[in-house]
Amino acid sequence: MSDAFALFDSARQRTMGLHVIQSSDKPLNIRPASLRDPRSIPPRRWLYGTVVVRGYVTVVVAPGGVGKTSWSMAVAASVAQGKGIIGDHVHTQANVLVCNLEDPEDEFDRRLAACMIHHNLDNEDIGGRLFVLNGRERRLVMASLDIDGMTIVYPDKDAMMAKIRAENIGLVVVDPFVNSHELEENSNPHINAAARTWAEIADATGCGIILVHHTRKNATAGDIDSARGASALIGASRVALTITAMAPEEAAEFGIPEKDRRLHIRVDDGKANLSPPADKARWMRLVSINLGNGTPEYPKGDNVQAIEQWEPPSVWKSLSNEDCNAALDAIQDGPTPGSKYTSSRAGRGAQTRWAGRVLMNMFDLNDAQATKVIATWLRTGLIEEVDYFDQDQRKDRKGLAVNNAKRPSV
Amino acid sequence: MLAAAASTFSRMVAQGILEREDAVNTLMEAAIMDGYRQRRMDLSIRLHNLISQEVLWWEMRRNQAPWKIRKAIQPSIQAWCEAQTILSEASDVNDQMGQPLLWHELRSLVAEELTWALKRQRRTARRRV
Repeated sequence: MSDAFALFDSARQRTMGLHVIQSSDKPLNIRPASLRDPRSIPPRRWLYGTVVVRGYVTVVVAPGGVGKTSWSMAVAASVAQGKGIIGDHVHTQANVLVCNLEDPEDEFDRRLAACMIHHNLDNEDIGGRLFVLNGRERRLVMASLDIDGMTIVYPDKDAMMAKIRAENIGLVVVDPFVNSHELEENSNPHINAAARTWAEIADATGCGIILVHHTRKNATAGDIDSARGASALIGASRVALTITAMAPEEAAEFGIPEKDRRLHIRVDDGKANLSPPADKARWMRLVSINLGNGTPEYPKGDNVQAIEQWEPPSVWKSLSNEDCNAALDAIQDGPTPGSKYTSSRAGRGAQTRWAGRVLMNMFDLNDAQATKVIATWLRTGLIEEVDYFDQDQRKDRKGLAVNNAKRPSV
Repeated sequence: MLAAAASTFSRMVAQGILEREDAVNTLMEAAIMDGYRQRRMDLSIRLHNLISQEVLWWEMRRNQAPWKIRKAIQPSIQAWCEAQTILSEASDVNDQMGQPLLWHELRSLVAEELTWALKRQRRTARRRV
């Protein structure tokens, strides 16, 4: 009953602009920076690659259906096992808690089974080290509004910290973050409160936390601002990653057919300003795994998604120095005696005079790959554009000449 | 003196602190000792009537008090007065009516009003779950 009096008074203070925030008991101190020896400062306690660090929050942002859950499942299995299964290094083995707040328990089990089958893991590898919290059984509410509609309360925070300590959890995966609170997603103060709750848990218990979050529509690779809702979430995190499906241009560059394009996903660091070019990004591939759980009604059983590391085919890997020199020789000779190849594909007759044709004919590259090679050679100065007098056309034109000083050595 | 005692005893009967018979017997003895000359039966009837009257008034005040108090504190709630001020205001109204409500009843009544006021106020949109 006295709660009603206290609530009324706090609401009154807020309404009248008299919002009083209780200051901490500790005095407000400032002190000179310690300037200690760098070697005496403890290093960051990385847990998984440069993705998860103990004591901090990592946010993973991706559109629906791209492979967030598969990725986080693989990370959880990697950390529980103590060995990376999708290419990243696991620094220390740790117990993992997956807060599965979206799927039913059976679906989670299917996903985990697919991951284990694909990466040849068995119960001994992760048994007893991977814990799960099912949101369907009981809602997880880390932060919500109180009955007055204004005050933010943290119902499950202490219980979560107690569980993390009790089971010695080193990594918590929250999939998805939006189901772990009941606040307004577009409100920065609200999301800040929810994200800070997780950050405080990470800080207090020393575990790493991955918050899986949806993007808004039309997300772009590496653009963390495409995260849905308030941006305070990104501010509260130490590492922010984006997961996006392969773009049509990238598929053309790698020669991936359109039907397989969406099975290839890239993982980018969202806090870096620019995403790396496609051939330097970290790529993953989604694979379909049959669980072998057929029944008389469903004889084929389930095909469930798992994730694996994928190395994009590189143009440069298939081109040796000899190949490059042969192509450069052909470019030097020109399409006909007295005329030169051009770097541009535009204009009449350019289809035959484009230098990329040489590469396409000699090495069976596709358009996008040939364009990329020519653009790289132009940038590095291996071939350069010169003015010359075309004997056939009897006029001044622009064409490509090879800078022999920069040719690759054989 | 005897009238004041009768009123107090009647109030106690109404509040359920004292049994009606005990009150009547005590008051009759006090009246006789005071030199009151009347037949015992008549005196008893008069005292019973007195008590019945007082119980009736008491019940009426208890019925009226809640809505009178709610009405009295409503302007203060709307003016965002402090909770303690509102409570003391309610207490004043209760006192004027002869304290028909007990202290904890008064407090819960005010708390109920404050909760209602908090619930009714306009709030920012909440995420639908």
